Amino acid sequence: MKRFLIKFLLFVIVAVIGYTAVLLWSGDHLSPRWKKNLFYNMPSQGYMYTRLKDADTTKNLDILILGSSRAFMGYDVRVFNQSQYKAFNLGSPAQSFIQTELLAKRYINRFKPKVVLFDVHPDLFNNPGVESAIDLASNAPFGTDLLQMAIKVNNIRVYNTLLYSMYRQLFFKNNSYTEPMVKSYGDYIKGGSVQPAPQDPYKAPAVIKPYAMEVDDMQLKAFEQTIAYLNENHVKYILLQGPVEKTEYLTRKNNHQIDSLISSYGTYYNANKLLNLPDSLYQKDGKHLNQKGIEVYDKFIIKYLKDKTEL
Amino acid sequence: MSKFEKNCDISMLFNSFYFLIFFTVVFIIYWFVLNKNYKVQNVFLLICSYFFYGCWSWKFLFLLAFSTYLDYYTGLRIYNSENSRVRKAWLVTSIGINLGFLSIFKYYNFFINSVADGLNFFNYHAHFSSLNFLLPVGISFYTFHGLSYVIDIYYHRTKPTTNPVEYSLFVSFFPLLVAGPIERATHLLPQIEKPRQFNYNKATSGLRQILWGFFKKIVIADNCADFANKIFADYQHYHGMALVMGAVMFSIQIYGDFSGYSDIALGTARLLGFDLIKNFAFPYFSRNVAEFWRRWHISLSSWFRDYVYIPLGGSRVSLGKQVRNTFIIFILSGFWHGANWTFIIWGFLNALFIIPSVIFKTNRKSLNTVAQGKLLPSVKELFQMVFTFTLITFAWIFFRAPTCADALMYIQRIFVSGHEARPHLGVSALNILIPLMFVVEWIGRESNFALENFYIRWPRPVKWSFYTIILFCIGMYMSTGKIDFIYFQF
Repeated sequence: MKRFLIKFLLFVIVAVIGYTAVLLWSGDHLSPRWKKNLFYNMPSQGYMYTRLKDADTTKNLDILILGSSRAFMGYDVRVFNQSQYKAFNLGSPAQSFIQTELLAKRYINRFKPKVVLFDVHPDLFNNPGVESAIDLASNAPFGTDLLQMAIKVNNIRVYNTLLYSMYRQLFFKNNSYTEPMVKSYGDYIKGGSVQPAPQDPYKAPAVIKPYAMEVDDMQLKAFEQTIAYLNENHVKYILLQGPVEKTEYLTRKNNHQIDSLISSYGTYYNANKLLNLPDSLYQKDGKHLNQKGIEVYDKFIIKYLKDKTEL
Repeated sequence: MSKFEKNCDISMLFNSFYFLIFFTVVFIIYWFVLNKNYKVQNVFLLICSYFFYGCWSWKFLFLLAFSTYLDYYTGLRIYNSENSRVRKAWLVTSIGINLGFLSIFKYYNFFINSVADGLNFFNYHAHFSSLNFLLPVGISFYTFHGLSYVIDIYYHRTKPTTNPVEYSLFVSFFPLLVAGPIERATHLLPQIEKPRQFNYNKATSGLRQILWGFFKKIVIADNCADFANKIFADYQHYHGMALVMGAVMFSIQIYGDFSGYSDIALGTARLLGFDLIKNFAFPYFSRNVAEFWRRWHISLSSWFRDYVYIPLGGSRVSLGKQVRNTFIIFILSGFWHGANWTFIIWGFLNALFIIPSVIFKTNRKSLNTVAQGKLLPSVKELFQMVFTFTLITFAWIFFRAPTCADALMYIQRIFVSGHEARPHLGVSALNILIPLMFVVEWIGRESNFALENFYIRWPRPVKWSFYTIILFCIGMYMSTGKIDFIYFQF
């Protein structure tokens, strides 16, 4: 038995070293189709690398925006700046509450925002968080919080990407990297937002089978912990559900339950009920506004901030 | 929060993190804390097995416990009775209740729907209420464990155990509980009834078997499943080669899935000091369908052979009855897999493929391993293997398709030519990994499992590098979607 355990542990050490070596070699030398579970996401789909670099040079905000792609393509910091609010957008593609918690904990003390606009896309309550975890693992400076996030998401792609990203950071392999500021889906705006590219003529969305939203325990816990963290740091927050296409919105059968769930955690506004934005004029696609829609929506939010808060 | 449906499943899949934790804890306590007393080890394993099953479905724990008690009790009554009528009555009771549960949970809806369809065909419009039962996981497996035990006692092949813990462990031992192999009391009970000694070679062999099982399941089978599922779900839009590829991919998927599962189960049991029945013996290297069935799901095939085919007269009856018996066991085998005509047709087709060898008395040919002692097969053997694989793959179409009509349409479209987009393999590396699996299996085909003696004499650094590369393949190419083991549904 003793012999078995010693040999087994020895093999585990050899296997971990061997696995890491082959993984790093594959990351550097194989084309993406040969490294299925290594998604080193640089350049990021949502300018995460640039956004975090940008965040490192930003301090003392009026407004911090958190959320998924509906945050970075739904809240334009320029519109807030025009109203004399210094804002930063930390939204990222498919950012689930697990990643929002991590980002909030990393940046709240640096930003010291007067208010957080937290865009709560209901589908994220049932999102595995893999896509956003890979995005962060690829683009964020390594820290134990990233490791904790990877364990929570528990997906081999996240582990592999994190390992590879650590190696690249350790050997300064990204130092000369500059992310392009213009991509097919939109242009990066200093402050974390993205201006959507002008879209093709609007098409009515395909009919989606109605579904009832489910809640993943882990995502709900991360959401609660983010709220608790904001409260601990005495940061005011507003929970928002930005406008989506009407068909998209009505596809969820339990919107009422979702509203009551989210509103139980603080001040909450569901723009789908408060604003009546015709899809053909203001939507880019099912889940995102076009630039015109963003401006209308952001002005609505600013009006609220002026009317109802001390900002 | 109660209004929302929560996603919180802790299913104890062999390839889950939960099972890794569970098994590590079991292994440590079993060998380090309880190693002085095998009876305490048995109680511990029984508790763990019930916990394992409870993680799947605690609601059906009572069914497992009842089925266990029933067979334990009837086994004792049969053995202690000298009156043949009483013995038979207890046997019939046990078989009746066991099959009764199986029928209710697995076949009730199939029966009433089939009767209703039959009556509708004759313009009698009947409507029966169907039962909305969940199928208890593993019911087909543990029911057959119990049946073999009772039948063996009835025919004086074994003596009943008087220890309820040992019998319960025989039925519910967690490595085999939810998808087999279907154990025999004559094989497993004696191992439960005596102390187990930790054996280094046995344990390392168990680890190798688990490693290979994981490779087959989560790299090969799950990736093939992505491809096969796409084709079968949308077969109306494909034809020709794409459909052939879909069927071949399903053949590889089901082999990787089930034999991979069995390897993990056998390896896990071996780490605890138990040898389970071998369930697969490289079936795709078979030269005819009869040989395939001696190598595929061996524990089920031999169960039907011993408890149905031989009691019906086996091969010692007239040719007509041999043919009848062959059809009976294959159709029953199909029916065992599920309450759907597709499985019955699948069984029927396999019987049809095997009948020529029954008629020409060639079904006992090819008892040895193909190309025994040689590196490569002869051209004839290669042709035979490809032909057998083609027949088996053809039958798998019925096994995989949701209905017989879908299967027939699928086959019909194979012969329609044309150009259409073929779904991507998804993982380019599959082009290399599938051949790699078959090469390793070919090299190891004379062993109990592919890696048992695979270049066992290589220097340790080379062997460990090889295992590390398999681990790397698992990490880099495993499917990240949730794909259950196919046989869990049976």
